[in-house]
Amino acid sequence: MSASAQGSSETTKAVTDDTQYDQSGAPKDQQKAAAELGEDDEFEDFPAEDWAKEDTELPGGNQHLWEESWDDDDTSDDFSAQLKEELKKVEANKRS
Amino acid sequence: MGVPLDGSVLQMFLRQVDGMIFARNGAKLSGHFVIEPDHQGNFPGTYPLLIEYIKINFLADNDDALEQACIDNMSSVKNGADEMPWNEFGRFMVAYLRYLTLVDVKDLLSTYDLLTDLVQKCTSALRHSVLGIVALPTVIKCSQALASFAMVLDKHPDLTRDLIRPSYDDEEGSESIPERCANIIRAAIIECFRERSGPSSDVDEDTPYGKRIGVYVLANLCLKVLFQCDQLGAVPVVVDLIYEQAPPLHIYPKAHQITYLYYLGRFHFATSHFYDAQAALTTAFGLCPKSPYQLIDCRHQLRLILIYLIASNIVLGRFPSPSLWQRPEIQDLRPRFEPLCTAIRKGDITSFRRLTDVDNEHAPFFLRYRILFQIKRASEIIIWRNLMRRTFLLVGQRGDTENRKAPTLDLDYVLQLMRWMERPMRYVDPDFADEYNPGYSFLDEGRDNYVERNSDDDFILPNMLEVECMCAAMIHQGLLGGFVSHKLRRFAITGARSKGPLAAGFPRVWDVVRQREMETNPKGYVTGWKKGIPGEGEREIEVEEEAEY
Repeated sequence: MSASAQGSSETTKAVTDDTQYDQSGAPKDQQKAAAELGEDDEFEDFPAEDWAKEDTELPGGNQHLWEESWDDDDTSDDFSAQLKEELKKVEANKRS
Repeated sequence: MGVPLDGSVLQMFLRQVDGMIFARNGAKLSGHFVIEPDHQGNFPGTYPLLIEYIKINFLADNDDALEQACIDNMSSVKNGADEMPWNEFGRFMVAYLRYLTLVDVKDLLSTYDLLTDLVQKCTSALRHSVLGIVALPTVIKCSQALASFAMVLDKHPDLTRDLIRPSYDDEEGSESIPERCANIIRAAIIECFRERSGPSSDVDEDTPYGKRIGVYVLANLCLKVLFQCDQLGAVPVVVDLIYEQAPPLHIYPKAHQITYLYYLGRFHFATSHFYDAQAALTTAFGLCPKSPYQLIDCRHQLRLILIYLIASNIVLGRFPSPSLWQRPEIQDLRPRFEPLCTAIRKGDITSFRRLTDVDNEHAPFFLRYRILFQIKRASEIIIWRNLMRRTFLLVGQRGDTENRKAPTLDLDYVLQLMRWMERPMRYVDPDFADEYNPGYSFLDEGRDNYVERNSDDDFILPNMLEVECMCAAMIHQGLLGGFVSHKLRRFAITGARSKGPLAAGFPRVWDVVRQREMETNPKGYVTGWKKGIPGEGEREIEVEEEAEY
């Protein structure tokens, strides 16, 4: 309906204005693609009703999409060094 | 404009409609009903003649005559089927013909009212046990138009502020336009459930039949209106209806499934049911057409699904993998989510507070998608766990399995780090500032009655009691394996002998979450998601009570 079209054009305009100030340094075509994808929050209807199971994203469910084991045992980074400095204060207090 | 006086234009229109009903061609019938005029407000083809004829020959207060014309020219209305006339469709025809003469799309409110009448009349026509199915595509078409207007009207409070509409089923006050729209469409869903044809059990069916074909299309429309207009309070009514009465979702076309699971996932996310949210959104993602979208371009839908799927997984202790971040649709999401994951992984409370602050550069994005406060609140306990783990790595006592000495962590270390990391972000609302003690809130008064305080910062920074409470919460949730000695101010790890202190004391978050879900919900029920599992729908529905909007 024209009603929904009105809403979409307002949103598009707003986002287009925003992207003029986006200086993230990403490639221009990537920025453009992201802006196009992000311009509307509405979950649009799909252009088709159905498709074959083989044409779906995860036919075998074997893609590694998520990191479940992300614990970091490395204590040599800057953040750990800062923590160590702070922990020395506890040791100093306990000794005093 | 020449106006035929013999009424042939009306006769022809009605007989065309009648022919489509006779042929049981609901799709063609819905295409025959033009809802939207062009940009100049004109209808196509012979519609202007039809409109002019009706305006002249059937005055607005003479619907009876118009209905009689429908009965006279449409055997489907007069005779119906199975010896049941289809009077409801005749009344819909009258409403449609009136709609044509009155509609002015620039007048949003009156158009919305006219469309409301159309949907209600057409929904009534759905009730016919034989012919009702023919009206289903028209119900869907009119409902889509109604939903579009409801969403536009919601953006114009100047037009709707004076509307006071009594709610149908509660005493909490008037219904908003989106709620009213959803309720009207929900009535059509209920009609779809009354389908009497086909087998008595849906569970083993692999395709929807009869009017039930329309269940998820209409449900998705309700949910779209409610989400677009931020009216999540009315969502449980739709979700519960589907969960109690709808056929299994998986027998419907993938487009219907994905859309429903997207909204269901968002609903569970909004109500802090993150495991259910990720379950729905994971399936929605998996059903999408695969990249590079040679068949169907769904990048926009995929991106929206991934926003909520990533947010759900983060608060459950699963972070996007490098391969997920390679996807072109979400290149702009990586700089927003990845720093959060890094801060959580490290137990870096200071960075996490800064990244989830409403003044952060990415806050507008997170707020726009309504995910900021859930991430901020639900990730907190994972950060505590990670800080505890890192502190243990730095200063924990590894224990001695030979001498049955458990690994322990002095909680004074944890307290020191928490106070150090919380210090930069502690904020006192100016409205609650204590004028005699700059930097403190008068709400802090009395807090030191039960805890020994050592410095001014004790008023606003964590103390040992809070650290012990945090540990207790983590132990209760299974995120820490061990116990706290209040007397010794230590966390002691149990089970280290077989697993080692890190694996025993700090189990992987996702493993804990999944294990808990398998124990409490072994059959994998998800409220609102009809999977066809026996016993489904009997699970207590609590979602609306915990909703946070």
